[in-house]
Amino acid sequence: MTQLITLANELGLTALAIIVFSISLLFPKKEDGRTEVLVTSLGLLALLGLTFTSYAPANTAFGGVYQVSPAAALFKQLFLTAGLLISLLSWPGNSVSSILPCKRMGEYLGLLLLSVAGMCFLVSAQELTLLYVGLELATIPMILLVALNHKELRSAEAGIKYVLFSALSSGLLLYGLSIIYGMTGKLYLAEIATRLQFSPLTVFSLALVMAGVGFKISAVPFHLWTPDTYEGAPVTVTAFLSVASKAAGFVLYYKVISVACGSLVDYCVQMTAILACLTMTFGNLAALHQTNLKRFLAYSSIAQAGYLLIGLTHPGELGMTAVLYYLMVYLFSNVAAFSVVILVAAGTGKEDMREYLGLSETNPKLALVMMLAMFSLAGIPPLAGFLGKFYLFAAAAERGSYWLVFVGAINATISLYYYLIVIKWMYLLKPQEGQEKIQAIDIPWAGQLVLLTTTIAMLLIGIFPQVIRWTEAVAVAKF
Amino acid sequence: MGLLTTIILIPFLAVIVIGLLPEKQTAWIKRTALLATAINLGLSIYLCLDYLGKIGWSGANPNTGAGLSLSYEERFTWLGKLGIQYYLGVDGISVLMILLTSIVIFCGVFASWQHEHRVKEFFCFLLLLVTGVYGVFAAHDFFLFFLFYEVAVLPMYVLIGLWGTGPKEYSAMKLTLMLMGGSALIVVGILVLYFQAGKHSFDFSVIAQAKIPVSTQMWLFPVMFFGFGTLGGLWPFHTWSPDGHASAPTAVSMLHAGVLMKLGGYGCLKMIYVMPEGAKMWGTFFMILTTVNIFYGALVAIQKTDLKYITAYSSVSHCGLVLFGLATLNQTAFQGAVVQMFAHGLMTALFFALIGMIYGRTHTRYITQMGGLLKVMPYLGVSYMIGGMAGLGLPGLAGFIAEIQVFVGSFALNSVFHRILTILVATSVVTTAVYMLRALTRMLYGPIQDEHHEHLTDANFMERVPLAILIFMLAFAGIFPGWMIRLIEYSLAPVMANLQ
Repeated sequence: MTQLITLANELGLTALAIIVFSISLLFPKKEDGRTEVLVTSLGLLALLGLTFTSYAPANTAFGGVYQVSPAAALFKQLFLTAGLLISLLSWPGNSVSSILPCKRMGEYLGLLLLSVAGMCFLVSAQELTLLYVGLELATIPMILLVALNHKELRSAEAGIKYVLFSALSSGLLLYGLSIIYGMTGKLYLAEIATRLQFSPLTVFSLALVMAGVGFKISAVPFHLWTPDTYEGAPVTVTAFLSVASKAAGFVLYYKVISVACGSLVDYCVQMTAILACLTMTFGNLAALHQTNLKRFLAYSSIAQAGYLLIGLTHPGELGMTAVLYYLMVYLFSNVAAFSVVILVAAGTGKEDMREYLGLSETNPKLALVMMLAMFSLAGIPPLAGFLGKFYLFAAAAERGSYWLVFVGAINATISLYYYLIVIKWMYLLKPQEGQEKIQAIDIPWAGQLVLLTTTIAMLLIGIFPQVIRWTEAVAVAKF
Repeated sequence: MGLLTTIILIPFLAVIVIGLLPEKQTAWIKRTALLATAINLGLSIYLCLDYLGKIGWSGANPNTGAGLSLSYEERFTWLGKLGIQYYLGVDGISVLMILLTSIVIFCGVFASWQHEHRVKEFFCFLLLLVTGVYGVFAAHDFFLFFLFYEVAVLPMYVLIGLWGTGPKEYSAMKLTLMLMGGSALIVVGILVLYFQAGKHSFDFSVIAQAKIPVSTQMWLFPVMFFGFGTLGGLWPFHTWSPDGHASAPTAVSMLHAGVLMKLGGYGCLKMIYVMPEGAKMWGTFFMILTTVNIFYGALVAIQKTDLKYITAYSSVSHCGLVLFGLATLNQTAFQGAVVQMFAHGLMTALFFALIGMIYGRTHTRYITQMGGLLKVMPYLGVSYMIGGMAGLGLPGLAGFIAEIQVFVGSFALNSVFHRILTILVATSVVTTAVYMLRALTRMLYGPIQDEHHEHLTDANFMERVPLAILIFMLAFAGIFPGWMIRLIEYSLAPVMANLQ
């Protein structure tokens, strides 16, 4: 029984998923999807509240396979928040063009909840099997979600690409993990760390694992699926994919690489540093010429993963703090950007930044939030992204890799260019002949709530030191 | 809440108040901005007088401390693990710069009184920019300094891009990216300094006293000098300045050329304080670069006929003199450089304000299309003339005090090469005279070129006020420079002590 209570969060998520699935079966007449969104949001809010209380009688369950550490709790809060924000953004307003089919809202939200549950399991897993199962539980619903509008060609294509690449990456990961198991004979991460010795086979398995994880966080050169999948998927799914799924990838990276490969730290750090350089540089250069906002944000999120990898080159507390903090910042900033894209797409069907002409005059609120999100992603104070980047750079500098800081800082400048381009379309340019300003958009209450929450979060996290003290405390306690 | 926090917060509070006002109430928006800047001007004057009272007006009370002599300190821990503090504190130089900022923004608000396009957003961004500038001058923690520095650079993009003229999107992007590139160098430098000092603190004085290893200073000093120099208009990274200043709206040009470029010089001075060995090693190199700066700026200004470009290139030339003075690493030249920051700030603000007003009447900025304007607008014409005289270093105006000290200081360096450089730089006064006088003659004298210009009106009250303030300060600082020199000299003592 105590074990079940320890698992309350994940069980709650699964139960909620089942309830949401069955709503449309129980009330087949109401098909606008509002009940489902309401139930999901309230449920997630309740579970989020629960994570802040110390309800669990024990920290571990099933003989240490499952563990709730402070860091795991923080990650769960991130996932639940992401789920909550995305579910609110799915509120079917009086939209001109529907992003999601209202009839299948229950299906959509249920899958979303299952994916969140998978991520929560992943965070708490202390052993390879649960880790892998958690990962698949997080990934498989995502595949279905990406292909939700299966009659639309783009969405179907995105689904196919995503399924192929996740299968490949899971295969690589599993292969790598099985070699590690073969060498050490242990499944527990902590035990593997002490037994793993340096050998060509270890390096090979490590490379396989890194490649597998690289797919999940869309690190270059494993990023090829990202732009197409992001573009084709329903935009709310893209938003979820870009924040929660990526954060889960980083958990995996941290768990497998940093925890399991304790004795090979130096190799991991070097490989991570190279991966970080490639990822941010490529992501930034490719983002320069994107005009479709979904593709644009896809490349921007690749670059952001590169910055996060900088933090992972520091295996100690400072690195952990930096990564945790930046993930939090990235979550709110990216959801803020996506919420604008979602609301504009729902209101007008426009997804191209060139069609955002005059947004600052017709929809000043949306334009302001978008501008703040862009500045936060670019790392401009007083928004949270600034402190986040500074901490990541400080983590690299503490280990003496000043060159990595330099590459990161130059990349931040490059990225500012394309973030400013978005602002240029919204604020600076005036419609020429044959062009029209974007029309005023009616924002539903749920959308307004998300805009408000993310904006306040971007500002508060950047200014108030309590947040970073919290992440520091969490980082000391580790997974 | 301390005085410095108040000075930083007032413009920010004004941003919030303006944000809450309805968009139609343009008069109230402008009044709020004016009120906030007026309060800050008062506070800055009080700060300046009070600081002078503390250190004594005469040189009888020399500064002997090795750390920067700070007043009005406010400090509390902000982010514990990295030792980041909210640490404000001013020395004489920062006091002078805060005073300059207050004067320029107060005049800037007056100069944008006729502004009608998206007034609310304009003043929000403008005051946000000023908040950052005050923060930089008041901060004594390197992290906080950098944070405010970035806050100050950013609103420029929207300010120039939205309310500017000409190729404004291009200029705004170029300016923002070049300055952010500079700050990319600075952020690396900050982290290197922090970890090399190993004192777990971003406090300038602590880092300076930790004695950064000479091998680090050797490569880090030029990185930082280029980083801050980019904002200070250092050749060859000055190219953002002419385009940016020419495209920006009046108040933004005033503030940017008048105050923001000084952040570069101010940062460079801090770097000399923190890394004296590196500064000695690279001093001559930067003297050569800044000599090019001074000449290049002046020579290009001769070529130009657009008033804004002339002023922008003259800024490059004059800010070159600031950096030249800093690179000589000599007490007298340092004093000259800081006075030049103050003088040039007032001077450029005056020029850009005037250009805005003249353009508003003639609808042209080309001196070839103007002439005889002194007849139709004597107030503006005479103001321009006084500004021009200050620019070419006429005794009795602030520019002279600056230039003479820089030249005397650098000539005192005991090597033939440095003296040749000094003589070269001193001859640039002639080049400056050429473009200043040419512009003045073309614009103000001779027959009226365009018949539409015959019935133009002179400055109205709202325009006369800022011009009068700026001219008064230029003359006041030129005739009674003692208080300024006292402020600077007192605060330079620890820098000089470090350099010994």
